Amino acid sequence: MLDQRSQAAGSQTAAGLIAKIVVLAVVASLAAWAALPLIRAGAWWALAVEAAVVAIVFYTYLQRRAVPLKYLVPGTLLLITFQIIPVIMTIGTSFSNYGDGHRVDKDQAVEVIIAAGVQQTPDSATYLLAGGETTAGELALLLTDTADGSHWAGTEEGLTELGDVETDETGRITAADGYTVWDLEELNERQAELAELAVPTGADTGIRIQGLSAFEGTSTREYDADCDCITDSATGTVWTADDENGRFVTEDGEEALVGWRVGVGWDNYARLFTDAEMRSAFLGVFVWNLAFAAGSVLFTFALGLGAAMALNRPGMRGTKAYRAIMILPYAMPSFAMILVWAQMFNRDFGLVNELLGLNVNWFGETWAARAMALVTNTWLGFPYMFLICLGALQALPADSLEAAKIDGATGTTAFRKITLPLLLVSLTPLLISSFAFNFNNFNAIELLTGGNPFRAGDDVGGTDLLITYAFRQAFGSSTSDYGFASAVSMFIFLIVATISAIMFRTTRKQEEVFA
Amino acid sequence: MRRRTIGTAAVSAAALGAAAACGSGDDDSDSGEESGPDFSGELVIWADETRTPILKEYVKDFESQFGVKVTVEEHVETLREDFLTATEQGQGPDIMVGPHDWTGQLAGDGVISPITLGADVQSALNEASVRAVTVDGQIWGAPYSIENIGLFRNTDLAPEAPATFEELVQAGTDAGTENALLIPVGVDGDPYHGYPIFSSMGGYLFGSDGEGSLDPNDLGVDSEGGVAGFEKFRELGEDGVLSTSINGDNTVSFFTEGRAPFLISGPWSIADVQTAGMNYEVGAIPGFEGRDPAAPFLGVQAFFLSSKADNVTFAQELITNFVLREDDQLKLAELGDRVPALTAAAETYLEGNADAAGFAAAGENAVPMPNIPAMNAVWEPFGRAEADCVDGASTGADAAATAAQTIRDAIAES
Amino acid sequence: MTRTSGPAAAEAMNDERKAALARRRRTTFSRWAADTGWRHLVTVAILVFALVPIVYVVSAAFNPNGTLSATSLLPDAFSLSSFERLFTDGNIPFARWFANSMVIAIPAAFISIFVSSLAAYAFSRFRFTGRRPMLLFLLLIQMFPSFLAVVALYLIFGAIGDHYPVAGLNTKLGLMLVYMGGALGVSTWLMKGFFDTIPKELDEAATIDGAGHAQIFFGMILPLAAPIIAISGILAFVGTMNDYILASLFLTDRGEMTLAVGLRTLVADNAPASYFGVFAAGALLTSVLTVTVFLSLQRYIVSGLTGGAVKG
Repeated sequence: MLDQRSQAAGSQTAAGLIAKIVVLAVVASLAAWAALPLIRAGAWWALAVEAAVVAIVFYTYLQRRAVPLKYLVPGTLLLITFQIIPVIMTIGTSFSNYGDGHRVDKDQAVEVIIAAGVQQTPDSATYLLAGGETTAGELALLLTDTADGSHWAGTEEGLTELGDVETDETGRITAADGYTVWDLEELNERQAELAELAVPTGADTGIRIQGLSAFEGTSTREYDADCDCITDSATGTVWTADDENGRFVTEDGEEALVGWRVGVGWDNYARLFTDAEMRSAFLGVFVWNLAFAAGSVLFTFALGLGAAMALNRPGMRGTKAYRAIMILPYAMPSFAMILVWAQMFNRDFGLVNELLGLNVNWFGETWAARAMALVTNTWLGFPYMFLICLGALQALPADSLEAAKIDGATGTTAFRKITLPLLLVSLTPLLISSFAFNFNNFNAIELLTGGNPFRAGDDVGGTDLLITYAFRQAFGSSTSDYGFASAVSMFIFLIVATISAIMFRTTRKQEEVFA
Repeated sequence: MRRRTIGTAAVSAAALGAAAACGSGDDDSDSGEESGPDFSGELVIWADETRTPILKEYVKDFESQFGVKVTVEEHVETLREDFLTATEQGQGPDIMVGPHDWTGQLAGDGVISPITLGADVQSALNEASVRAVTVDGQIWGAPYSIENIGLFRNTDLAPEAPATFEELVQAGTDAGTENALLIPVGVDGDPYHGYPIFSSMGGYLFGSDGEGSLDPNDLGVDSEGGVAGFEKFRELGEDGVLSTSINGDNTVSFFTEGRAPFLISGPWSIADVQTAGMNYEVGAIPGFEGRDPAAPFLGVQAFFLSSKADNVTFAQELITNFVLREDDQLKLAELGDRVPALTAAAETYLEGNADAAGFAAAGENAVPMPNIPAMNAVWEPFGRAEADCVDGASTGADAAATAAQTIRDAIAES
Repeated sequence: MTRTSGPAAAEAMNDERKAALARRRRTTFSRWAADTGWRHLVTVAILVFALVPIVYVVSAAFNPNGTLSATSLLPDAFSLSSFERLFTDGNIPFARWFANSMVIAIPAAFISIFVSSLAAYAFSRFRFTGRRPMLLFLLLIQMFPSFLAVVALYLIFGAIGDHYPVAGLNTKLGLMLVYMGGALGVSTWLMKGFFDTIPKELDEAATIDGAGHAQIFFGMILPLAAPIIAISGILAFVGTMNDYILASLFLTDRGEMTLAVGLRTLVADNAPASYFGVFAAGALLTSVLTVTVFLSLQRYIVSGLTGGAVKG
């Protein structure tokens, strides 16, 4: 390790030491501040993670041996939290049936199915509700009949009529002998307790609360943990839990309204490879997708580099203004500019056909639509390339350029032999990452063409990328399926990562990049 | 067996990451929240960009009556996705205000709780609006406004309201403008705006299951009427009445520029048309001669109660009591320029409001947009079939058959 | 940075003066054409391409109807009403959106650039086990389709918000944290490439003078890398300004929105078509902000810095 040059304690300046102490003190106080709510909430897991992070930070900046760590830790922490955790979660999702109909856990599903069995008893009384407790501390509903204004107290024993009560102007009970009446806020906070309270009014009817009202009703559905099933006493339906698929089903295979999330192993991946439509469409989409990504990089890079080269000359008149205008496409909100481009390509009213005297159906013909997508994407992306080329041009060692000049290399030769190769050394990784970005450039296609043109009955549009196509497959059916979509994401990621890694390895300048 | 283990391990790794980040966040909907020190007494409502300003104004009464702060948060274009994702994780609002056609999906995902409305309350509401929020025999939301598309007519270019669709096309052609009629189609088709034509020819989407809900297995896209509907799209495309280069982005501006005497659009376009200062009238979309009336889709806006609501009492009170009162419905209607769902309030509102009355007339035959999840499978294939017919790329029968096949496959898959 | 901006500016002026002198000496047109003429030509050609769609937006901004009118490239009427509405319509608190964007984008860009420059320094100057895999990993992780990131972010920030309301959903701080994490990969690679071109001899000389690694980084590398820091900063800033997917997740109050989210509400599906003019006006003013940031950083993007430092 090169960095093991031993540093005498004296080499650390006083200012540096003070800065370090201040930073660590801030970290320590932040850590203490952050720990308090976790302790209060008893979130021990989170506390352990927090303690570990703080320990890592302190260790890193107090030790002397591993210097690179000091520079890598901040970025790594951010990267883990906001990029790696989401990726891990996506991987986890790809092994589940998470999606519409399977979004919540089993308890929640049971709760909603049972709640959907509540029926108001026809022609029964309705009440204004207040909540409270008896002097013995038992929960009680304090009710005012909306029809005749009579007052009632409801407890586990049932309803008893109340004598003297105080009410507010709406008639809701605010005080009653023998009861503590809650204010609205307490009622709101303790709603769950009251909702649990069963106040019987008949064989199978009871008082149900809703907001600041109550009514007499029945709950026809019940969950039985022994048979792991829900029974509806009104219709006689019995739904039994199917833990493999995360849903309640009757014997006839009728599903209850809500299902829950379960792991499904490799099912989503298996579907990826058995889906006939997807398999047959794959190759065509893949080739266009490669072409779109490569074309986007090529055109944006060529245009951006051209602009940067042209403007990379000190003393040229108007450079500042040119440069400022050059980044305008980048400065405009892209979602709206895609809309503008779509309008410009309208067959009957669009500017493009009008200016060029054409009558091309840009959205209806495959090659026209592809050209349109590339033009639009080039427009959106070239200022970015312009900026990074401008930055990279600054980094070119001036001596090699001057040496080339002295050797008599003319403009184009110098560019081809010296400038471009040197630029590519530093820009290759960014070009690869731009390739990967455009490979998955969902918005550019979805907002512009939506995959069009489609031939009747075709699932695949002429401009569909893998990602737009696959996600329509995953979400376009009657229910969206995050589990499957995650598996698709993983698959696409593997493709892109492999291509990029290969490109990276075969880049001639690989050694220099890593040097 | 090994596969299972890996799968479970991966899932629990993700769960672990979550648990590590949130600690005891698992059961915060229960006891933890209620006695927790951070109870703020704040009722949270999520709505889209159109409804948010209306609701902000509206909830002031509720705030002052109950002393509760109500926050309305705006979710632009991604309200449904945001609500689903947040709620399934125990986050999200107490109440979500959205269109009724989400009801089936939201209920099936377990993110909303059903509400109970007494028989008297139900009968006071527009009958279709109650049906619109009913799934599995249970009511899931409180309807507060209804909307549908209608026919805007430039009275300078077309003085007479047409009685049939044929008359409409004739009057449009006679006006000598660039277009006879503006209906958004676009390259992807537009089933929402195309439905009146489709339904007038006898097409329908889903049949009834006989219990007040729609039957996803009875698909009407390739029924006899459905084929006739697609055939009509083709015919109108050939005549140049419909065109895929007319889309949602240019219809309203073309209409206000006087490039066509007729526009089919909804109440959201009133502001634009009024700003242009033109003479116009709103009325019913006429059906084809000797055919069914042209039925547009009915859209109902409703208040839904989150199944993870922190403030159930206040939320339920607002949904099941407050918004269903006549004054409140009227207030919401005036703030939002939509017809109230409560019949009594609607009558008051329509008096002296020509535009609203026009839309109400257009909505007389309206059918609630299907609220079952299977509807999600309809939009795209239907739209594509419509666009193909308008472009003349496909015959009505072929387009209907193809679309129906795609939709059936998608429904069967889920 | 201030320490070198003096010499840098001087160097730049020096260059400009030299170039001006050179211009005066060779006045023949053909030389001018070969030297700078083609530069103007290329630039103008690219600018035409860049500006055509923007002219649409300008036209819509000054058009009293304000619709995305598909036919007229040039407005048939002129009015400032769209701009007026930006500042008078209570539903369009443009000034606050503007302020929110600045408050979020500037610190987020600064911190993310700082963090990336730290990492870039480590990758450029130190050799340690796992360096190459980490570099590759940093590149590859950016390629993960981030569709379901929204789900993850709800989970992460919902949890954070349970314990730390200041950084949960609905907070600017939370949004800033995400942005800081987002720009890391590209900036790190970009800066590492630049740091690699700064000769190691400089470090060695400084080490002999008794400077520690921190002093070398803060005192020497950072100032020398001003051009790339400026560029990365602009990229991070613009990326942050243009994002609406994340921002709309975090900021759900009209007064709290950023420019991108706020403007998005004006062209949402249900928005009146005439809002397009207001949107166009807002987008133009937004781009003014970006261009201003660019111009103010432009003085750091001056040719010859590295060369000068090596020579000096």
